[in-house]
Amino acid sequence: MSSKETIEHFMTASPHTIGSDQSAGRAHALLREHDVRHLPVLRGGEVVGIISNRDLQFIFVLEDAKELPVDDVMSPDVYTVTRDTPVREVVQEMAAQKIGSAVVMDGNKVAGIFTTTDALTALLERL
Amino acid sequence: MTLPKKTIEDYYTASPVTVRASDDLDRAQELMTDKGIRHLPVLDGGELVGVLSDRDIKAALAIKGATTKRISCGDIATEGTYVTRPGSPLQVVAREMAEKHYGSAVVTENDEVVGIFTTTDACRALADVLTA
Repeated sequence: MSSKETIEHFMTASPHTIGSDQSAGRAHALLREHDVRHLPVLRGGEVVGIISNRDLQFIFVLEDAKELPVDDVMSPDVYTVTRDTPVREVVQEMAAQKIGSAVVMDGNKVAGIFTTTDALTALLERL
Repeated sequence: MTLPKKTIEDYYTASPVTVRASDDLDRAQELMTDKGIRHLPVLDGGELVGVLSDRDIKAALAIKGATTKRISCGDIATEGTYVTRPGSPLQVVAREMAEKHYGSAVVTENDEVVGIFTTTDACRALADVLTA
């Protein structure tokens, strides 16, 4: 398998991240500012969750919800893979477990993120 | 450029489970759990009015005082549903979903819902293409 077939080739590199103790309002602002839809959530440098714009969609009906910590709103189940994981393996797992995104790690650091939008883009390249 | 061969029909889930706009979220959650699915087309008098996803429900229930009994599927179904036909090329549907960030495409024929194609199906399609 060529190097082009690994997740590294299809991921969005160096994604923006947020600390688990930051506010939901800050997460919302970051998503808007950078025009992205997912942020890996870190605690002490470790990935502990993922937060998406849809996690934040309804809580903004309540003004004080913006003060909630990201910890309370994020999805704690994160699917992590390494840069050299074959993209086929990643999408098979995402399909089987119905997972919306994979966080790509380089050792202990977040190297990238691969979402279903990236999967659609990869599919387009291959059709 | 060669003509796209694969159509949405190769990958969509046929005869998807649907809910009525008047059904409460209890019913929707029950169906999603029982069937292991995350998207439900919402019908009102047989007509498609939107799609309801598990995350829509989760987000709605984050509101203080919200309960699955008090909210109907029609209340929170995502409007502006992407609707396509069984013969639509996979390429066209995947492009539209990627560009507009749609989580699903509802497949209709003669105004009837005949299938649903989600990003999970897109992942399956990609795995397939990469294996071929």
